[in-house]
Amino acid sequence: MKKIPILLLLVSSIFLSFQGRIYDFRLRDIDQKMVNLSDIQGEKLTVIDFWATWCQPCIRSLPKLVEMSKDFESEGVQFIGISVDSPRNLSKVKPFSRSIGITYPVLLDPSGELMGELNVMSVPTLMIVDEDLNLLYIHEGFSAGDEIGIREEIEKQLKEVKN
Amino acid sequence: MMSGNVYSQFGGNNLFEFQLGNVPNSEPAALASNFNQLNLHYRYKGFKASGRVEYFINEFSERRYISPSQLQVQYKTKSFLFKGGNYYDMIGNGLLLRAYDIPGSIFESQGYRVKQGFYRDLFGFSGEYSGDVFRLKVLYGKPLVTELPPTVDWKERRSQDLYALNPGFTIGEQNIDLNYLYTSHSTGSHHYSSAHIAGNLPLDFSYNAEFAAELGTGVPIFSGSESTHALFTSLVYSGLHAGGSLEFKDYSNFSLGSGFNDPPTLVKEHSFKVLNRSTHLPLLSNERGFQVELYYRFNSGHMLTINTSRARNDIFDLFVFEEYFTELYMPIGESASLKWFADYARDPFKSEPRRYATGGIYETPVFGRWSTLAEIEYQHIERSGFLPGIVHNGLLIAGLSHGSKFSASVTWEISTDPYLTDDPSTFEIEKGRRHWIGVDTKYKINRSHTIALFAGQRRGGPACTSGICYDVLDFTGLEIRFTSKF
Repeated sequence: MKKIPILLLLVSSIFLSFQGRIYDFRLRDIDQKMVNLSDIQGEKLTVIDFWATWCQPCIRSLPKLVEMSKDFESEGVQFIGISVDSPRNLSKVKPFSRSIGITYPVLLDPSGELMGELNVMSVPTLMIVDEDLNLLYIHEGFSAGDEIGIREEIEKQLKEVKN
Repeated sequence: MMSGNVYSQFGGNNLFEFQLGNVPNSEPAALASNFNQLNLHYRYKGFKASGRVEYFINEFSERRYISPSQLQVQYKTKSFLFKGGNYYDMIGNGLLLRAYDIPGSIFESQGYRVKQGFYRDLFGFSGEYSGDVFRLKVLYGKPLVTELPPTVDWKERRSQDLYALNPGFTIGEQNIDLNYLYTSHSTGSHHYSSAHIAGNLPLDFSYNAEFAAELGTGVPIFSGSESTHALFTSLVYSGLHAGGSLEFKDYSNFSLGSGFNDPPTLVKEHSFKVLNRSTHLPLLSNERGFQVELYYRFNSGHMLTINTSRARNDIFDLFVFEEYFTELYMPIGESASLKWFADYARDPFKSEPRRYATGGIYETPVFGRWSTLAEIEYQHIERSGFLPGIVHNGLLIAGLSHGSKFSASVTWEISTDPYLTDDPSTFEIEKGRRHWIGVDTKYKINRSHTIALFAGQRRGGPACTSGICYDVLDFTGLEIRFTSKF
């Protein structure tokens, strides 16, 4: 009898399809200020990147994202970094971010609560949302060359926004 | 499932894992087990309700369960946040309290052999006011003892009560928080307090400091081994190309309750496996030390990291842990990269007077969206104590991936560690070499579903992730993971 609810849980999860809208969350940034997403989101698109200082693929991806953030800044695209570092590494987030050249906002999620709420199950995970916070695209992990696909997706979403 | 109107939304995720195999030298060798975690949430304007259901099935009846492990309601406005049920929170830098969730992870202890999600939450309620200058948090909760699985009685897993009051102020770029924590358990009750200040200084400097102590003990703070206190300080420089942090710790008898606090360890959290397994675990009963980490980014995009840490433990004897680490990240061309590291450590508490390690990762696109990865790590340990001698650990990973759509890798590990090469069923201590070889593949079916497959042998041992260190079990067999998001 216990197998029936288990099977229902599994089957229902297979047939539930992805859809979503994120919510206007509030976190502390690396300058210790409380920030709402709505205060810093992009005019057209917002690219949200979950990362950590201990995550190898994250560190490989960050220089590429920094470059993209500068390229798309004038087109209404705002990049936001969310560090999921625990207290063990929190002191390193700000100097690491600055030394790698990040100029976009970096927020802190040390308890992993926002990560869980937004269905983020690994780092790095990158999301693109529109001005209504509708989730348009998710990219998990980072391998060499992924920056090309992410850039193409941002350009594609910008075209659809203009249309 | 429909998302409803723009102000309401139903969603969640599911993690399904099936294993056919076991820890080496355990019976049966081909143990079939299934773990599943389903998370659901509903949002409507400022209101949120969420829940988590987990189950674990295998042939042993005492290791099976199905339970609703979390339920939460939350209401949020611009200035207020109220939570009831299962929730997460942290006070200051974690000196007094840190509840956490590690999404997508599964925990299994050697003792119970029961799988569960990896989290330490609170069950109770909290209320929070956040203004521009003043903020106040009040919370009550029963922290979860993560090491006890859901097959253990709920009261035993949450046997402690916590009450906390946390007023705070923001003055310009400075934050000041005063914290009070009261804990109650059948063995007794305790009062703790902490003061936490953090803020920005001129010339790209910032600082963070927190001091916590138990109240009413009658023992002067910093008076010796009887004192119950925790001090953490950090000074950070965040320049354009260069940055660094200097941190200091002094912990004395500060592992609180069931271990619901998590003071900063001031030890590097390594992403390289041979170093990650050798991470120094803080002894909160008596530990003083510091950590310095420096970064420099060259105009070419190269990045140099240098880290050193010390931890002094004065328990039944004096132990001083030291580590020196350096790492160089080198971009190559448009998309390829090479990262190299070298590490030297002295860890007398583990009877490892000297430990050397080096290695690197090379990643490059090959054609189209395909890329390859090669990783090599080597560790040389001089060990004294019960099994003195030289230990070699090696690791090789070769991987191939197509963006985030598909990845496959082969991992080969080798060790001459007698604690690993020894056959526990004999009296002799077998020496020699032990190998592990395994294949991982991952395929993203669509935006909602991902399937991952592991086959072979996976080396266990100490592991640290998201700031939490625990023991991972060895595994030989087949493992399938299916994750869904909706």
